[in-house]
Amino acid sequence: MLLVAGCSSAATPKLGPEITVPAQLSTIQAAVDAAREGATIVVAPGVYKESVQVRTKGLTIRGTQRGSVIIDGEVKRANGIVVTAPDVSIQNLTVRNHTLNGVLVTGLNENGGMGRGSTGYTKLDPDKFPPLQGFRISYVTASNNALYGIYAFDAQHGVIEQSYASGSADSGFYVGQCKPCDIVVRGNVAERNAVGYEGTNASGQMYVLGNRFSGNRVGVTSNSDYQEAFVPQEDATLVGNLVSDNDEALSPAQADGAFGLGIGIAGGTRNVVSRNLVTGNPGTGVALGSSEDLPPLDNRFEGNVISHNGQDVRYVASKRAPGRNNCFDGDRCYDGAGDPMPKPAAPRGIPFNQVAAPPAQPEMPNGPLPDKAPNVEKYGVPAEDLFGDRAAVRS
Amino acid sequence: MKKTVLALALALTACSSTPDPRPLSIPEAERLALVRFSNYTSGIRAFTASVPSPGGKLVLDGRVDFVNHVGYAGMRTDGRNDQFSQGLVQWNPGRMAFAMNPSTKPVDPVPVVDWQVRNLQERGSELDGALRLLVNLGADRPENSQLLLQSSARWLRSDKIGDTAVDVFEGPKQKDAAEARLRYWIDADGKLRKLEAKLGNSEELAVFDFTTSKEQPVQVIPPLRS
Repeated sequence: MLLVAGCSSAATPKLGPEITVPAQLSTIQAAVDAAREGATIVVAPGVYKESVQVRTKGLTIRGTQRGSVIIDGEVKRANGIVVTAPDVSIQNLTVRNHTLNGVLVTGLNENGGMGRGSTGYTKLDPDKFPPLQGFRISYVTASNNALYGIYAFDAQHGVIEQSYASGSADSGFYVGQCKPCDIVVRGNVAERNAVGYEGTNASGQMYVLGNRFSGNRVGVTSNSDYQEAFVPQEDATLVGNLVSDNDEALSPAQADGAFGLGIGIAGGTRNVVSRNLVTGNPGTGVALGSSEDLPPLDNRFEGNVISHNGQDVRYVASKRAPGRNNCFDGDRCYDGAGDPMPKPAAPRGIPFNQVAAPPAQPEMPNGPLPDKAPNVEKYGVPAEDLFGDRAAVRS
Repeated sequence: MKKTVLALALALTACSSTPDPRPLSIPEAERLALVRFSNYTSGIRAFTASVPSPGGKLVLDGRVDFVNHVGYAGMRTDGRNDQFSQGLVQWNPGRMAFAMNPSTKPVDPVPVVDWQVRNLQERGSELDGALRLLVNLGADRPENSQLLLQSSARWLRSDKIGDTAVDVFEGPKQKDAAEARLRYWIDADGKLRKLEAKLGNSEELAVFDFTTSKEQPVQVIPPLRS
């Protein structure tokens, strides 16, 4: 009997090219499971209390209204959407109240993907779980998720764009463990997170462009971490971002107690940080340091506007891992060891699920999305009100 | 290969009347991951505890503030009622204060008396281990349920506390440890109702029962402030 059922379900023709939820199938997961490769699942407004696992190549999940198509974890379920298949797109919807991540994209397809850090962490084996190939997250709102809002690791060739993350107890956006990444993170807004954007061991063709990382505890970090694959972090490009006023008290505490920091690079090599506006961060604008025995090497800072921070630039490489050739605008270079990073006074955080709801976010426009190419040259120093209309925390 | 082993285990357990301990399901891991966060959200909870110690079983009755990581309880030694065997105890993750007092529950407002203050010992004392465990049972975010799934944490059995159905879970083993030291009784909402802990070298378990929420705040005595 069981055998028969198994055979017949395998023979059921898959649905597509378009499936509507809840009109055709009542849950997003049912639609995903029924969909054939390349199908689009169109989701109507509603609160969907489910965790969606996407294992079919080329699916698109698209909400018809970004703010009212909601996948709600109810502070019970771990992840909103977990993507472990290539070339999947997630568009125009909201993921909130998860105990780990809003959206997780990963080639680690065992146990539905794994978070990073903490005791018991098993290091990713990229030979056993090769990186997922191709993903695109567009116009997604990720709020009040306990680990990351939008998280991609062990994945290559992706885009995260025009999305919004708040209330993450770790970072709003996180890209980790890829080399070369070929990933573009552009036009996003992160506020009221412990960290706006975090790139850990994310190296090579890793572009972070024209985002607003304001009103978090820490704006941006790019670092090397031995707990994860592909040490050291190198060759990331951060251009045209607004990194301001990262001293938001009404946000979850940062695990290491950091506060008031704009951009932090720890143990990074050959990163290019250009044409960013880094201002109003009361601790440090840009901090450049070591990570364990990994020094900061050959990092380039060019054409940024770094002003009105507690201290604009702080070189904090350790004696254990002294840096070399880290240059600002080609002439002011830092080598060797610096002074230790002072520990800031940080206000107590608030739990991730008590962070204020996001403001209204723009709908995904009709028509094709722009080309995936990073086009770094088109990003200049941003205005102080970049994406001010999408943000609740004011400068 | 792994699937075959699992299926076999399931087939075997299906035959016996009481199911054997087994690995966590995903919803169970998610529920276990919420325990400390749920305490944090509750804020302050009342508890009773029985803690083995070389001088006799210590009985505590009090409350813990999981947000501010401070506890306040009446403490007595089981089977004794002399004045040295009972008093009030207040503590935080690093230090404890004791004052002799005939009450077996916290006294509010906190009496102005001579508190003896000392640092909590890292190891060796069951009482210190119990106090530290209590104030560390709150966290402002859930644990990582996916890491719990991969750990040695297990579902042990179903149980009831009063009329409430609970599941009993064994927490993950610490690195290189032979056995897990904590067992959790957790209700459907992820709320901790009871905890058993193996502390120090004691063979006997310490038992903690958690009751109400919305308790009054702990008025922290001056030596424990800052």
